[in-house]
Amino acid sequence: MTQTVGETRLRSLFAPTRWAGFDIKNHIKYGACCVSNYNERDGRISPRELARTKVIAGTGCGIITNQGAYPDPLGEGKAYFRQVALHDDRFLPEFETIAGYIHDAGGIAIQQILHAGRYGGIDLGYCIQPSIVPQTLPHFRPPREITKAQIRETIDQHAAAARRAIKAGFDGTEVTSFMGYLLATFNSKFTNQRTDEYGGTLENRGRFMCEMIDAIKQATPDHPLVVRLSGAELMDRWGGNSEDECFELMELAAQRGVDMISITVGWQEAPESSIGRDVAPGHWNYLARRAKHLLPNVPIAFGVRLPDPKMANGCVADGDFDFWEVCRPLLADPELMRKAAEARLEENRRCVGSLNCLSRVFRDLPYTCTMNPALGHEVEPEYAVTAAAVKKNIMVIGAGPAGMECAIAARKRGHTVTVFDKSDAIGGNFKSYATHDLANRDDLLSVVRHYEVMTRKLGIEVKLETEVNPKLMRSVLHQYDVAIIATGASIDRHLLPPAEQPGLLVDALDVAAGRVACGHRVVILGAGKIGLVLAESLKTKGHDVTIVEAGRSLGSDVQPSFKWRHTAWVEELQIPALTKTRATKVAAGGVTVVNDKDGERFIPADTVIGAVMRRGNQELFHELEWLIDELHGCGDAMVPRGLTQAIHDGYRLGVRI
Amino acid sequence: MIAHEIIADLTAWNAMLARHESVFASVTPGSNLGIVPQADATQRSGNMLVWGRAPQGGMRAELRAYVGYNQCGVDLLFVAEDQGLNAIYDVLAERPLEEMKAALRRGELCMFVTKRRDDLTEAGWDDLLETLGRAYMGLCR
Repeated sequence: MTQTVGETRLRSLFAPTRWAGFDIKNHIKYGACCVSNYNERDGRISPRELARTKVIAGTGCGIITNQGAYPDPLGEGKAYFRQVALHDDRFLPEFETIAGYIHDAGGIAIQQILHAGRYGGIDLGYCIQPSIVPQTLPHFRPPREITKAQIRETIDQHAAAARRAIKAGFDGTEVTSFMGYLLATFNSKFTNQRTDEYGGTLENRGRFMCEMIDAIKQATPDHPLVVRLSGAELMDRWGGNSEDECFELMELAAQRGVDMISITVGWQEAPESSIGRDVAPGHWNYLARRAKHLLPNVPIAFGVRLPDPKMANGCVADGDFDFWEVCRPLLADPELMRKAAEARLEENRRCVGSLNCLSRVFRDLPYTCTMNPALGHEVEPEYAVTAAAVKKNIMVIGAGPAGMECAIAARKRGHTVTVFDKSDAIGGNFKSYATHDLANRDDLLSVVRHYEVMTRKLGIEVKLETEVNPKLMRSVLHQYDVAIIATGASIDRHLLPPAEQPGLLVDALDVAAGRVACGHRVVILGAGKIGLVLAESLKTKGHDVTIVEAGRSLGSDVQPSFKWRHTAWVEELQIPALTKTRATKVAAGGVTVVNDKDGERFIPADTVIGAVMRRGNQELFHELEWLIDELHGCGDAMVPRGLTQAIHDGYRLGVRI
Repeated sequence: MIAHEIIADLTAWNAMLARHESVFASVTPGSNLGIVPQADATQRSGNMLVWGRAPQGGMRAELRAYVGYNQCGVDLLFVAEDQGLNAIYDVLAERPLEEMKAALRRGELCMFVTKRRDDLTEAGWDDLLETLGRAYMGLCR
């Protein structure tokens, strides 16, 4: 078969291979990393899920793992509010449909069986695990110790679920000890403190896994079994397994004849990051290398914090692992592999690690993706990019994420689109703040690069350094049918104290954009994400920074899964943060602040940065009302929020006009 | 200092609780938390420092026997490495809760919850959880 240019460049990744008796079209495995929470409460797969799965099947991966199904009728293994179930034949028709989707797309279909153990029992008042070790995260249920009879029953349920998956047309199955699920709790010393044959030594702790592998192999002898195992739990500080022990457990699984080991990192409750934006891509690759070295004859799948196909191709070429296991990058851009194959990777919508795909499920909400507004809405035609019935001439005012998403979606539908921005670059305020991001600014700036590429490829005209105002509008009267106001937001100066010393109080955006240089001593008023990003950035550049926040905590507008990261940085960088403290005056070389505890005090400063709440830049709504046929708004201009909402707002508007 | 001496210094712990009463203002009578040295937690025997709302109103520190997770009888259980416990004790008169937060981050203190989130809120622990940076818990990162 002839390879495309992209496939030739990523030769190792795209090379056909064989695994467990199957011909596999490439070295890419779609990982069941995320549970969608799209399904019925009783575990039946919903039309929404089927539509999403059809997209997954079409990603081009050689092996596709369907998301984890719980195997027991009681729901002790059920971790997520709308998780799929596989404990009864009545669920099979939808599984058959999914297996069909995967096969139709030329993939090998693997069904994951997920008993959540410590994180299960979502509809019950308890969870089960080997020993009673209380939760460290109160989202989860109090534990009960699993009895030996229940162990046998649970293993039988896994085997029955595997048999059912094969009956539905899947080619193989997978069991997972990802991030603290039942299998992991047996393997780990942290949660396994049993004194019977299932606890104590590593061999005893691994007995449950071995018996489960045996049972599934016996139940489905002609079909491969994948086991997901921790390369590092990141729980060793609290009594969990060391990395060495994790690899000994892999050896046990290999001796039992598993057909592939998929390596994971970290427990949900681990005290450090494993997959977030603050972890450098490739950071955990050494674990895959070690596994491959230890078990050269066992296929190894790996993809933890490895979002880049080029890096993955290098790893496969170097023999670090056999299959690139990828999920989140394909949530952000289901076309990723196709773009890679066609040497169009510059068009990729990169996963930026916002983790909406994971953190929302702990609020019992369906997963979403910052970068992919259509994710989860595949079943709704309203979210699809379809040809516009009436082709219009659209002006988008503002080249930030909301405006650019709207422009791209509208252009793909056949409209003619011109983007105006008063600055000299695409990206809006987002670009300015992204350059200060401590976690991984390249991830965020990839969003801007994507917009730059797509404007070129789609033929979207961009007029930079062009401010739209009534005068300009009159000069182009009747040239446009639609105006989209995506002008972003500004710091609400009404919320700032009076400034008596000219030049001392500056706007956060001016600092972020480099229009204002800060003195050595900086006081930042406001500890939302803007204030925090600037505080962290300035501190790392040697400034003496103090944060003043009227509210009780830092990062009130930061999404929950990243809030801890900012507060940790503030502490690590030793940035004094005065909460429940109000600035009353900016004058005479500093800021006067007051709080209930200390009363009034003066903080000397060379620069005071206003980073309080923002308000939408909405003036144009009134000014353009009688100058254009259709007038719409999106993003922060409507309600200041963040990147996710800007992208989603812009897209939703773009597919509707 | 050794961990057993630290948790036994009830005078110092009571003074700390009095100074930080505002953080515990919502804690209801009968609600309590425990701090147990890691060695005792591993052995499932020893003493546990307990902070709770006294019947007469204020927060009080006391020692109780610790015999394992199952019978700990507290809403929140902190298992402390010696290093973390010493770090907190060293600043007991200054900023002990900030140090607890830092010890949690460093992994020198592990917090277990024996009640669900709603029950902890009912028991009045939200302010402490917020202070310790544990207000939102339940995520993969």
